[in-house]
Amino acid sequence: MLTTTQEKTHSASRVQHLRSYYPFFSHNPNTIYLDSAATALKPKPVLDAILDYYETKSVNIHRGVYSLSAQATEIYESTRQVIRNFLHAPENWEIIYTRGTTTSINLLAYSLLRVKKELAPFFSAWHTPLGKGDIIVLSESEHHSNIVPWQIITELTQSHIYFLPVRKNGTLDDSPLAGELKNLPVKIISLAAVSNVSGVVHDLKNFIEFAKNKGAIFIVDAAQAVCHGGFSLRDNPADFVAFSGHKIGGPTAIGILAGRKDVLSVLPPFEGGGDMILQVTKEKTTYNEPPHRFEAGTPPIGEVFGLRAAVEFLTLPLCREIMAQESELTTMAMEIIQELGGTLYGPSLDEVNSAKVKKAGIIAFNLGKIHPNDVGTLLDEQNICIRTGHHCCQLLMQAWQISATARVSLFLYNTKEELLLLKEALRQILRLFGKKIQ
Amino acid sequence: METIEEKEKAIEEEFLMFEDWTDRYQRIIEIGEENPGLAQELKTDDRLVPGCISRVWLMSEYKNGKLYFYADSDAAITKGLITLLLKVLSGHRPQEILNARLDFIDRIGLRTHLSPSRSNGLANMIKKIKKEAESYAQAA
Repeated sequence: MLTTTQEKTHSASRVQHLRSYYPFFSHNPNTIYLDSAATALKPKPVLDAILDYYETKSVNIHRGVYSLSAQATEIYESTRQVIRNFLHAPENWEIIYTRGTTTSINLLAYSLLRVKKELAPFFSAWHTPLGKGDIIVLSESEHHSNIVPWQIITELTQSHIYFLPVRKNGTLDDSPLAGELKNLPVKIISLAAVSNVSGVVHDLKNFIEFAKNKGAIFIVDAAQAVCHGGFSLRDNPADFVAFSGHKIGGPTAIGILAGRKDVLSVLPPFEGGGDMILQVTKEKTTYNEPPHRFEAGTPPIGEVFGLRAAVEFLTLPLCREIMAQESELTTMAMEIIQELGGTLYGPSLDEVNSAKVKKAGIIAFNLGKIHPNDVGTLLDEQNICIRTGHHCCQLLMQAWQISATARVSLFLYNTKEELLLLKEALRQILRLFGKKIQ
Repeated sequence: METIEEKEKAIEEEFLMFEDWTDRYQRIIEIGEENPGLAQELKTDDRLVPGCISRVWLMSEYKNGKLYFYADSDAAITKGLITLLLKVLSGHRPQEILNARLDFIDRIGLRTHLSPSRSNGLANMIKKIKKEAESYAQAA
């Protein structure tokens, strides 16, 4: 049995060991990286996997008659099972490679735009195509990538978006489900599992149940969930899941759209081109089965190699153990902001400590009246990387009546020492601005 | 009246005395505080400098062959940076403003602010100032 001190040392050395997998830290030994919600640093196994593809295979997949192509195809195709496991998705789910969460949502939106009655056997609300008066439910705290694609298709179909209100503490208000939305023709609900600003891990159960009862499609933007505790379809039985590879330490420009095979097999394609066809004639093209139907053109082969390595790395016991302790760093960061007299956006420290609201390691804050951009600039002078601005969530900023925040976001490799240095750096900024601006 | 180069030189000399980044930014913030800014009704969207996360409003006035600039920002450092630029460029002939190389920014340790991806958007402020100058230079 380890004593508390031994446990702490043990967990600190675990993180130090993990950091040795990230070349970033040897190239930037003095940099404190607190912007992983924007993109995560890449561990060596991911870089090796990408290099392995380009160095040892480097060929195109699928129709190649030679064995190198077959080998690359095997890794590319079997990675779908790795992703299925990662999401706890059953066998009857299909994994589509996209460019990222944004493309996944766009793919779905544009495909749904062209659906006539094909989805009726699966979703009773879809006995008619998306049209005038139909409702798409989003929330005020969605990332622009889960708003703008839907705004584009509502313009084309005369359907409407209903924005679920967000409370001051970042949680979603579900009262409209039994109120305003109860008798409206809801066809789509698309929500983030974890907010990229408040860090709130949303309780999606009521919304999923509502969608099931309505016969509507439920889509989860899991972009932040996958890097903060993971996303499990067992806990949140959604109809579609979208996420990006780069936020879990994979390469950029690779993401996933996951959904049921039988549902995907009736959806029309988004992009046309090579690989997604069965037969092309002058008159008509017939489409390939999913997932290939949705993967036109030469696919991101090297990126899939990298994504696979990222998922395999993230699911190692070492990473799992560290991730399970993220909340310690989250509350420590919140305490620091509070101690310095800053404003926290999202749940309060009490709500997080009492587990009333579940929060991932994403901490939005402001320091008095100091503009977050100034905070970010002055932290950069002290080699600390954070993000400032509206975080692609202008609706949330409007709901909270603020224009911007500073945001610290954590991942596996962050340490308590780094947060103590952040505290010192923020103190320095407060000193610089003097008391009068407070 | 001092030339643009002379003004740049004076700022450079002042900034070279500073020992570290805290002094440098302290001064930038002070310079911003010395600028009375713009009245609320003048802070309109058409005066916003594009590409800055913090908002920067810029307006100009052409008088007796010279171009005068006025600016404001909701962020202290950004306001300091734009004020520093105006100190150097405001009150000169459009052609002089167009010719200004503004090397002093690099020499006083603020080069990183010139990168196009910087949210402070110093590069965008310069672009907007030069664009104004260009339109008057052509008219003159």
